[in-house]
Amino acid sequence: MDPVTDNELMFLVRDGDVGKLAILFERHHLKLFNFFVKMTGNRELSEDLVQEVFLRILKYRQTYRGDSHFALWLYRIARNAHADHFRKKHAVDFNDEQLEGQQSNDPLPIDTIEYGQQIDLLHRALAQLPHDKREVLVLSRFQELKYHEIADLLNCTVGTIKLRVHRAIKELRTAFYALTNEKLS
Amino acid sequence: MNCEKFEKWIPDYIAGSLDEHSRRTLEAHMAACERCRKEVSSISALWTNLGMLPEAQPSENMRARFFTALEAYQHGLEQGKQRAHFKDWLNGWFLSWWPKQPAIQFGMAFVLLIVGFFLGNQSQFGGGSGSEVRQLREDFTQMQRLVALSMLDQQSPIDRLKGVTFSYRLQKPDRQVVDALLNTLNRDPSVNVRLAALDALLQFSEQDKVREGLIASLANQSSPMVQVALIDLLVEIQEKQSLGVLNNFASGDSINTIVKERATRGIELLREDK
Repeated sequence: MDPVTDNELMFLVRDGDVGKLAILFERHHLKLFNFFVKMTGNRELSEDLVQEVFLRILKYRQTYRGDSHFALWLYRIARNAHADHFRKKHAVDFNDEQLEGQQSNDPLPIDTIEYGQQIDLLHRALAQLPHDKREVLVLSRFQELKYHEIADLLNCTVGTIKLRVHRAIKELRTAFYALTNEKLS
Repeated sequence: MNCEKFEKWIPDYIAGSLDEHSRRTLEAHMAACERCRKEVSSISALWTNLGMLPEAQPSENMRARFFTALEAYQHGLEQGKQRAHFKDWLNGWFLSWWPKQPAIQFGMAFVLLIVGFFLGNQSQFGGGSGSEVRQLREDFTQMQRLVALSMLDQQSPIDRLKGVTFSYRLQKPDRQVVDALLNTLNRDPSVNVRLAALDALLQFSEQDKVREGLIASLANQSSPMVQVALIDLLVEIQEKQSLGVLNNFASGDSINTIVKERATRGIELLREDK
């Protein structure tokens, strides 16, 4: 384990040692990139958004108070950057085609085609979820945020988040089964 | 407990955040309730499968872009620091010169305005007409005079010192400024300001009024430092009228010994000059 915590690093960045942001970038950029990929289905846009998030960290570094987990602050900025992008561009919420392209770019061995198909179907099912449900699933399952942290991030109660996760996964299951049936028929 | 209540535990169960006791209770219920067993296991399977989704890899370009931006930001920050340092220094420099009182600030601003107008006029019209320039010079001198006078009247010794310094710029000081300087020499509570006023008066020592004022002032000074400086100045300008006062100092009882010596020596020097 690295002895220096994210919070400690961010305090250094806040106080002018901006070079330390490189360590935070190394620690978080991959997860952040995957958050955007799962939320937008667009890799190129996701790279732009990761860049935008780290630029905003530099811009707002002096507002960092460190009273919660660094990741929470990071995802708060990430959500804002994402929302601002869609407000500006009036873009589509999720680009399914891009994701399909991405999948075809990653060739899978022939003996794992079933596994590959499952993954493809899961991606598509996830893409079909409404934004708010997809978001809680992505944050809890992939970004590994605790429910109370997501509640803090989204400004609602833990109960609301658990209920939303429950509904989201049920809806995902319905979509996944529908897509599987479609594929089999 | 009915099945509906167990459902609420599912999000924590799949995420592994359900407490030990509740987990056992739920599992015991699932063993007995087929519907719940199927529900929870299908959701759990899906949750596990989501974890199999491969992590997307960004292009190497993303890292390069970040480091370029970070470097540029650091560079900008360094330059900003240097600029801020220069700015602080410049501000400090200006502040040390800028008077605190609004009245004097106004006066200074007016002087600067006149100077600007005067310079602009000169460069534009190659000197302008003689009378205009004269008029402006007079206005300018007048403003300098006012600034010096009002500064001599300030609460802060530093401002009064600046006032004394300002009076040096007056080529033809009028009575009012000389009076103000003499008044400062006689009454200012600060020895430093009195000494500065004395130095300023030296340049006007051709005037009888100044010489008289200096002699009169010597009799009234309480500080040995000022007394010594005054004696030296009177000797320097060879003011023979001061011999009377100097004699008082040389023979006085309660006079500081250094002052006494200086007065005695001063008398000798003035007599030698005859």
